[in-house]
Amino acid sequence: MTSLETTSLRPQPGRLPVRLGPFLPLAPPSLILVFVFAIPMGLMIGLSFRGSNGELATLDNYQRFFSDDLMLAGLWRTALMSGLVAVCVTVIAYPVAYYLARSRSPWRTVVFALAIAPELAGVVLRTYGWLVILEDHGAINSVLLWSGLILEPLPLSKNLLGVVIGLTHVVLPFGILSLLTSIQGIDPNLERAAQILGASRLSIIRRIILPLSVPGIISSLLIAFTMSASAYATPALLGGAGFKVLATMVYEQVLFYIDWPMAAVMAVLLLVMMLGMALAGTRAEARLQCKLHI
Amino acid sequence: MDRILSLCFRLSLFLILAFIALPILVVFAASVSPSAAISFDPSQWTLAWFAELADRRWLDPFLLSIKLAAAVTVLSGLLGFLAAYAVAYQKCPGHEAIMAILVSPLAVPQIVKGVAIVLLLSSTGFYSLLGTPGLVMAHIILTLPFVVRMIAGAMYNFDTSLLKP
Repeated sequence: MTSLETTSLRPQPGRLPVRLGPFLPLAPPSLILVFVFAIPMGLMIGLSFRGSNGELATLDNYQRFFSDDLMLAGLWRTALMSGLVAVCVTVIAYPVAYYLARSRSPWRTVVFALAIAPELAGVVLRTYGWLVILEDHGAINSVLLWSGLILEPLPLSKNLLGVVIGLTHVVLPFGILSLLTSIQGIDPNLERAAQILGASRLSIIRRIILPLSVPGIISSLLIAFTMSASAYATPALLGGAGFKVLATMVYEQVLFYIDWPMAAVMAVLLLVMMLGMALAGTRAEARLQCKLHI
Repeated sequence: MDRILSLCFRLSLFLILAFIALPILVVFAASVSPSAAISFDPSQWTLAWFAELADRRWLDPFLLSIKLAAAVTVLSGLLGFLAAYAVAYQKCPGHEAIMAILVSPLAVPQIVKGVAIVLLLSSTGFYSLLGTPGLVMAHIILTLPFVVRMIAGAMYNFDTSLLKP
């Protein structure tokens, strides 16, 4: 097939040696990708190195960021929040993913739909739902106050706890999906063999399923971390005014301080943090996969 | 022992599904709650808030959302189809690298893309594009990688021998 193609479409005299035909459909999407993605990103990264006196390449803005305790606290808070969410998501998603990978009951479809459908509802709506539940006058506190178990509302929102709960909910479907693919790849015969040889359910999970699904665990941790590090709506709504993470700080710099270079610095730092995590994660995954095949 | 484990497993599954469904159910509950503040009182309910939707104050943003979604769906679908056609169907030279470039916006956080796009539109004389055209363009960048990936996924599996005479 390929040989036929090359002979019939041999370059003819007067024609360009490189055929542009196959690239033509790429022109409109590339145009928008360059104009609305590549150029803005370049501008932004460039701006983060721009000095206040018009220098083109200086680290002044970065120095400004790293010498400000509040901003540094925001950076650490972003990392802490994303790390917590990554662990919560993976732990909660694992049983669901295992059930979806192995169950043959008719309920499987229902569970799958329930687990994935929230993704269609949008982040703001779900976060608003959590606000209704966790607020000082929200569902949990109303019930507890009414029952007399507590005298003052518990601090469930406007803090790290509320944000972690909300973000865990937002990211959970992605964790489930990445673990599901990984667990589905494990040969069910391994479990059957272990069972026949007398292994208990617990040791099958501990010694077969968990080790073999490590790549899935890593990709779930990774996707949860990166999604939470860049989340804006959930920390802004559930965290309250004092809860600053990089994403909300970027917005604040643009809208209230009109400090574009600082916003650019924060955006670049967020990007570096995410790419760094992604790189570390893929490397760890590749190394583990090598080990598992030996 | 195994029975206890299986029971625990079922219980945890049930709790997790409840956790997933809870906030969405609560939003429904809040939408029929008579008080304007966020509150929880199942004894009273009303549909008054839905009637308020007809107010211009709420109707205009609602219509803008729908217009934006429709425009972005059509444009992103077209652009994504073209890109996927070149990459997955024609398998143009270097199609793997081109695919990686097409989905690269996914690696950049939304807030970062947003700031970068606003920076472009507000700095270099593209002022007129701020507003709906800018929103449409920005959303195309957000959705294009998904569209390309999905259409390309389907096109990779095409049996091209069906097209030979």
